[in-house]
Amino acid sequence: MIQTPEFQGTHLWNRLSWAKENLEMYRSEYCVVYEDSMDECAKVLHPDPNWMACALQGGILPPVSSYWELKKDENTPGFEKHTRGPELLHNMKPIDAMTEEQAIEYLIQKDIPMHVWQDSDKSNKPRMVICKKSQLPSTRSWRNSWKIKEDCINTNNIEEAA
Amino acid sequence: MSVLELNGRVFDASTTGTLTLTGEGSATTNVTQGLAKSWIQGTAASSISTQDSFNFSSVTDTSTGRITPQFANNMGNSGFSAPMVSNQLHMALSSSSTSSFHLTAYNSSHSEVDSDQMCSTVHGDLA
Repeated sequence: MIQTPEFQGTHLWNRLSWAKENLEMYRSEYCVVYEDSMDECAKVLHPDPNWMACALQGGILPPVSSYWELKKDENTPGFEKHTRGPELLHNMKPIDAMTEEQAIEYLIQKDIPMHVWQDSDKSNKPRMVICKKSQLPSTRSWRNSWKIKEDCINTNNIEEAA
Repeated sequence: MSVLELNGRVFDASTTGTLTLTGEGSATTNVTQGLAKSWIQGTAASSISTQDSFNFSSVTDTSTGRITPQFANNMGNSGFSAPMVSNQLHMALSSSSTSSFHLTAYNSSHSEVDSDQMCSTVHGDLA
């Protein structure tokens, strides 16, 4: 396995450039199905294969809390542009290599709204499920009606509720 | 500041990280500003699949015809440019933040529809 250079202090974009040139893409068979609004159909998050390679390699990505801080900054009234990018993304110590499972969990916390995953085990019905892509409905004819099954416990399928 | 000259074209890297080179006539071109910061090519048809990409962490299949790519390195502000093409009649950038943007494909009836092929490139300032 190729050794990751010491990247703390290197712009994250340059680290991603290094990864693009040096790492093989990793196509995860997993995706994350979630519902962030009662009035909308289920959404399906697919990990990016180049990002997965970075996550499995280690020493490239910042801690997920950096993205939460950026989100906070962006939600501040009067926000115009990020000023803490160097502090949060580029100068923060990169995190170590993750397993595929840890990488998916990181991605959930980064790219899915916090209200979905924070108390997902306390809601009346499942709002989020990690499943294999092969478990998704085979046709998209009723895509806008996809909902997570009521009895789904993170191993089952989602259904077409049409 | 360091300067490199190649066949009469001058590359000038400032201490602030800006790289310029001689452009048309006597003008200089800011290379950093002109670089694509992210790009993605994939399919959003039978299932979402990224063929190849740069600077994205995930793509969310939001609904028929709608996808949301999420940046690995956030943009500095939401005023970036994200031109896109697909095999459908037209596409629209419905909203954007510094961490993601929403793309929607439409058919000739202006209904949202999945695309067999789509790609997008992002220009703007990084966080």
